[in-house]
Amino acid sequence: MRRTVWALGLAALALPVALRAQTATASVNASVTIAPTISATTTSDLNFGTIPYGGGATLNVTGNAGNGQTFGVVKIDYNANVSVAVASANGDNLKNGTNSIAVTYACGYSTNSDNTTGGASSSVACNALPNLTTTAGTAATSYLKIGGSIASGANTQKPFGTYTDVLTVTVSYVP
Amino acid sequence: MGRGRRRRSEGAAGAWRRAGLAVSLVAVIPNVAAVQTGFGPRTAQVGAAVTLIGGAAAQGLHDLCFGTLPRGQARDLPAPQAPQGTRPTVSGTCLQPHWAVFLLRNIRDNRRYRVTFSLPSALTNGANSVSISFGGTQYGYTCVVRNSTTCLFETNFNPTVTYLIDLPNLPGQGFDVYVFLGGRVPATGTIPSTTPPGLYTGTITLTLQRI
Repeated sequence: MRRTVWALGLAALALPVALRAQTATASVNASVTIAPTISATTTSDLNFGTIPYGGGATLNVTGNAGNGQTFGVVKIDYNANVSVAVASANGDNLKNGTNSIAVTYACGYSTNSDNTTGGASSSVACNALPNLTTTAGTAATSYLKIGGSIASGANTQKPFGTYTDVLTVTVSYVP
Repeated sequence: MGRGRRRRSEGAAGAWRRAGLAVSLVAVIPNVAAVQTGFGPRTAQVGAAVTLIGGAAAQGLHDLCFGTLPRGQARDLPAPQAPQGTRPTVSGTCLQPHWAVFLLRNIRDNRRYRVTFSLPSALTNGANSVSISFGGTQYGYTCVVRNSTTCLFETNFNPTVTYLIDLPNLPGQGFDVYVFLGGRVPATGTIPSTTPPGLYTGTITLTLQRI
C-alpha cells in the first residue's frame, strides 16, 4: 500500500512537470551581405609613341615614359581585398585592319597617378598581378600602370599607321 | 491461509502498483516522446530545431535574408501585410531578400499560446556588426491555414512584443500557423561607410508556449 502511495505521488508530481514542459522552439538565421566598395577608372591610355620602321619600344612601369609615350593608368578604389585582371581584345597584338604587331604588356601598382612616371615597385605580366589588399572596410587607392614592350623588328614589313588594342581591366572582390 | 492472504495482498498491491505506474507513464511518456520525435528530420530544412508540445510543433522554414547591401544604404523588409487572403509563398534562396518564416503546427482554436522571439540586435561578422531592428507591427505577420493555403485568420504583430495566439472559433481542429518576420538593417540610418564588406549573420529563435 505504501508503494501504491509512492507511485501515485510520483504520478502526481510528474503531471505538472509534463504540463510545464509544453514549450517548443525553432530557430532560423538572419543575414545581410555588405557589398565592398570597388571602382576602376581609366585616367590614361597606353601609348608607345611613334616607332621607326624596324624599331621597337619599351615602357617600363618601374621607370619613366619616353618622349611621346604614356602609361596606361587605371585608378582602383577599394575597401576590401581585390584581384585585378587585364585582358587584351586582340590577344596581345596591336592591330591596324588585318595587320598586327605583337606586344608584351607589363603591369605594376603605383601610388602616383602620373601617366609618364611609372613608380611601380615591380613589373609583372599583366595576367599575373597580385591581389590588392587592405584592412576590411578601410578605403584604399592604387594606380595600375600598364606598359610593356614591342620587340625590335616586330613592325618590319608592316604598313605605316596607328595600331591599337583595347585592354579591359577587371577588379573583383576577394571574399 | 496467511500465505494466501499475503498473495492476495501482493496481488492487490501489484495491481495498484501497475495502475500507479500506468498513471506515471501517461504523465511522463508524452515528454519523452516529444523530445525523441521533435529532434528528428524536421531539423533538415533550414537547420532549425523542432520540438513537439502536446501535439503542437514549431519549425523554421526560411531564414531572414536581406541580400546584398552597399554601404550608405539601408534595407527595410516588412512582413506581408494583412489581408493577404492566401498564404504568401515561401521559397527561394538567401540571395534575394526574404522574410523569416516559421511554421507552428497543430495549433488548436480552443487553447491559447504565447509566442516570443529571441531577436538579435545586430548581425555580426567576426568583431564587426550591423545593427538590426524588428520593432513595429509591419515586421510580423501570421496566416492561419488548415489543409489549404487560404488564410482563415491573419494579422500583423510586433515581433518585439509577446504575441498571443488565441484563435477564434474556426472550422476543424489542428491548424497550421505560418509566422513571417521582416526587419530593417541597419536599425537606423544607413550602413556606415566604415563597415567592412562581408556576410553578417545572427540567429532568430521562436518560442511557442501553451498557456
